[in-house]
Amino acid sequence: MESFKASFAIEVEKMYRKKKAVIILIMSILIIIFVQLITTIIRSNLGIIGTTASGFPITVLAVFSKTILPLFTALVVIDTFTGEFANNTMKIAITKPVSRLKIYTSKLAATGFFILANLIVVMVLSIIVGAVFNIETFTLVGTLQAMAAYLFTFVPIMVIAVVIAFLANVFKSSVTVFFMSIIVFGISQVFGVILTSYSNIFITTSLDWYKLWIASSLPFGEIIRQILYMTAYVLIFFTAGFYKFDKRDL
Amino acid sequence: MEKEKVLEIKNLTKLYKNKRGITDINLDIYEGDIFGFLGPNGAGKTTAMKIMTGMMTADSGDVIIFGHSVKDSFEKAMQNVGCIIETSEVYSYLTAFENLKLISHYYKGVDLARMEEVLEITGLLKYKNEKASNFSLGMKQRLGIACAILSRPRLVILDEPLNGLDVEGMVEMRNLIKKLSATEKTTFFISSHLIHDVELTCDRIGIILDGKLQNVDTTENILKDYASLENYFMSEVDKNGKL
Repeated sequence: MESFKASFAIEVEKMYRKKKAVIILIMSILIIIFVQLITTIIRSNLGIIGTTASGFPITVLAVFSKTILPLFTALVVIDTFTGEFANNTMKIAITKPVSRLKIYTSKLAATGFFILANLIVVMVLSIIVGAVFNIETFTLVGTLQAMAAYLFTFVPIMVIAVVIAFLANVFKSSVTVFFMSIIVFGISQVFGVILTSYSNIFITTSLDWYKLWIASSLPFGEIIRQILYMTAYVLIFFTAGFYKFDKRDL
Repeated sequence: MEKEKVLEIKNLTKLYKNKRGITDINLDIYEGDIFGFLGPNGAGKTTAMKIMTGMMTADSGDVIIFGHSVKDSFEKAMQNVGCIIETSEVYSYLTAFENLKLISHYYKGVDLARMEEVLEITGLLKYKNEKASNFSLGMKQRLGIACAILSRPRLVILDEPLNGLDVEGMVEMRNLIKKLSATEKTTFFISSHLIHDVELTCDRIGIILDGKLQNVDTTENILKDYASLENYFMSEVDKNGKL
């Protein structure tokens, strides 16, 4: 466990020492400004409210969780696996007293930490912005619902990270992994819409599962079904990804 | 008193698709040894060292370090090992000091004083706050060595440690290896193509040709029969019909 903790601390520190972390933070803030700008334009031009204090963070999440966040997650995962293999820095970790399973898991755990941190930053900022611009509709329940929506979004994004980690251990080029991730994400989105009766099979469908948790009554059956699909994805892609990572000669 | 066996290489075989690699290597390294692994380019030195440090898996055979198999108990085997394989890699976006601090997470008992100490030993103390991306090849090599000895490992595996070092750096490196061997009983496993330097540094020599370990002897014994290590090396090469 000590070696895992050490490896996790190192992965997190590496992630945040790169300039990408700052760019990601700036982009996250920009998306909040973008959504607020759209809302203000709708409100002033069309004369409709546009959103509420608790509705604003949810609107931001709807955009953020399907665009910028998966994109950033892909970049971080690619950097941590393919990038380190390409830069030869992977051997720094491989030759230390820590098993490959712990390295692989700690890299994913650090990615999870990044996703969670990113979601929390956007959540806090969007709640503040939503409250400031829509103070008359601010409620505590609405805010708690928004917080729950953000925290539950962590799960499907983490599943996507595990899938991308598999791709990052199959292909050697960062560019190939990036485009493969986009293709897989795009196909999953399209088929999730076209094949509605099989939509749960496609991982991107789970990006909407936060809606299940903030619904007026909890649809337990649907939640369990989505949990099972996501568990299956993690089991399959974590195992396959680690197998490739473990067998790779440097 | 019998010396402790630090490293055991048992029937180690790894063949690449082009049929090159290493075949049935057996070798024991004892505490305090400064072992020189000599061989021409492509003989299999790096392959053997990569398997020892977990960068590659062997087709068959095993490497036992301090009684632990790198195949089955990698973490325990590597607990007291520092290494540089092929090239000295550091995180270029971090300073020399930050690189050491990051790596110190893996080991217990590495404090700031120890980090300063290894920077002093490798002559990098005055550059400790400079980013590694600004370092020359030689400075990166020094930083790699600082990282390798940071945890006071009992075994240090160095693949071409003198690459990129100037003459002064080579002499300093040789003195450092000898000092650590004498004072801390650190065992060294060194591969190098610089025969003269191996002769001056190592007390046991193993020659690898075409993936097979040919001969292992002490430098003292070799120099009784040959004028220099280079002559011995060339005679071993001749014996194996390489020239």
